[in-house]
Amino acid sequence: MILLHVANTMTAVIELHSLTKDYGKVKALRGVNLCVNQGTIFGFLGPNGAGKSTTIRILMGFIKPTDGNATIFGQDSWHKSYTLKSRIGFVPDTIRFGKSFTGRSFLEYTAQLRGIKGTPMFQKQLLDQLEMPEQVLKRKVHTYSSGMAKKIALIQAMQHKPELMIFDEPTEALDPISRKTLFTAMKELQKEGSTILMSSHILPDIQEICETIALIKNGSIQSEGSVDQLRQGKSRNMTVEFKTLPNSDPVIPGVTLLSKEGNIWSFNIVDNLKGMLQYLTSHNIVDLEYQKLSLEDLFLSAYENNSKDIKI
Amino acid sequence: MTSVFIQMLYGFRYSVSFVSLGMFLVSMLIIYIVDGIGGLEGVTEFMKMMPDGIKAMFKLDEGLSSVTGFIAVEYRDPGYFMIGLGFAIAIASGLVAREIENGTILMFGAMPIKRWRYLLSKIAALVLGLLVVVIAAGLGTYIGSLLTNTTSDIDFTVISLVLVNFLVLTLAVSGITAALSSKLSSGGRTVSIAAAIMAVMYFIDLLSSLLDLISNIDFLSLFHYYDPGAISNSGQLNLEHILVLLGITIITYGLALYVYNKRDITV
Repeated sequence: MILLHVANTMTAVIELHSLTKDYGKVKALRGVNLCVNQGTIFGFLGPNGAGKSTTIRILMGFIKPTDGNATIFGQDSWHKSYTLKSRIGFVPDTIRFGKSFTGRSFLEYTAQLRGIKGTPMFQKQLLDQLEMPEQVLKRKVHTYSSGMAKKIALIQAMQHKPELMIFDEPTEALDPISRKTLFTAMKELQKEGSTILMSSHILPDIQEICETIALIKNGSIQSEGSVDQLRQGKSRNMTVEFKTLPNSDPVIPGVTLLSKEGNIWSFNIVDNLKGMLQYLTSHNIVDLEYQKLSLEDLFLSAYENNSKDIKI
Repeated sequence: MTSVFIQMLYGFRYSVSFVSLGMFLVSMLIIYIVDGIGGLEGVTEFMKMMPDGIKAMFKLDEGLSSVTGFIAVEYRDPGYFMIGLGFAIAIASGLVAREIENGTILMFGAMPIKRWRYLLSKIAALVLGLLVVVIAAGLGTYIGSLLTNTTSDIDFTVISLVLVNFLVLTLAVSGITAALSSKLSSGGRTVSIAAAIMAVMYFIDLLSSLLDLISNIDFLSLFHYYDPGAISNSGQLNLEHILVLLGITIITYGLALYVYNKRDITV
């Protein structure tokens, strides 16, 4: 497989336009719009039943949208599914191989189905990096632990260095070392021009590897952007211990004084950390604590409050 | 796709082996029964003793007073149906429904193969498997006759024609099951529905000779088109019956391919 080396161009690899999927009365997707650019590692986040797997299965041509459309490389994911699959590596959330395969025969079979002759070099590299020796590959796949099964599924999806990889929960069941190795391999393929869409419940993984993130809830995209972009507009708390108390309360746009307990004051800051820091430099302070807003905080605020307040 | 075809054959190698062995042994057993009851004379006596109602029900007419005829009608034995048709149903149910149920379809459905070609490759392997099973039944008859020195009493051309009729019956059964498998997402449900349809058809055919009401709808049963006794009597296949069974096979397999091509795969 020859990879297209088109660095720093913003060509859309995946485009979803008003994508809708109904299962009878159940609306799994409600007009999803999304764009994944070439060469990005894109995180797809959402709780169970939010519509992640439905979206992924539409992209893989397993299910047909009720309305709207999904395109990959500009081609319809349902009608051109067969053509597209030769350019995609896929790992489903549920890993099942069938009882007749060994690890080795599974990799050979999937390579054959992709028209690959011989053993791809990258397969050897991945097997080595993910610590899957020949003894393990000789065993039946159904005897593998869930982590080993995941590794084999990932290797079959990456061995031919596809232009697009779609991974549904790729790090689930992986040990920390394998997780790191996987991320290294993903980064390597990204450098060569590949695009990766991954869904995960493991928020630190998404935060670590993904440049762009989309949050999906109840079948529609709640927000999309980088973690920094998602942080915008979100309030964060700061606690400051003053050596000398200020003469007056601060008047700074986006900053609210929440409480005063002696010389320890608490503030709420929305998008004006710079203004707050300027205020603090003009005062004598002993210590301060600023709330770190992780992806998990953003995720929880988006889903717990039932709000749509994260806007990019 | 040769890889899918070979993998499918490899996947049910044990099933084919055991079912073929079963068919082989049952066929041999019949030869030993023939030998045990006294060959041609015994078979003639046996037929005379049998009540007319039972003969009509199992389509054992007076013309079957030959060893070949006796063996031929034994190919309508429920034991044969349970092994041969049971195998056809079990394997055909796995073509799509069991793959969805197991979740393996997500892995293999992501490969760059057209859905209909993937299924067609599996169907081809199934047809080969059924052929092996039917050949095993014929071999059982032949080897049994060699072991009992009854080879000269048996017309193997007739037995071969009966087996051809049995093969197209199993193909039609597998076609109906394949169509169900393509539509449903549960292997268990597919097997249950296919088995129920076959049981109803079997009883329609069984009772049609006794009840006028049912005789009018006998043509709806696949078993109506499987008549080893008539083949033994005439020494030839009923071409109309073969064409009906083959027609059902082609239509149901075509339906299976069409449905699988269009359906959502929701695991």
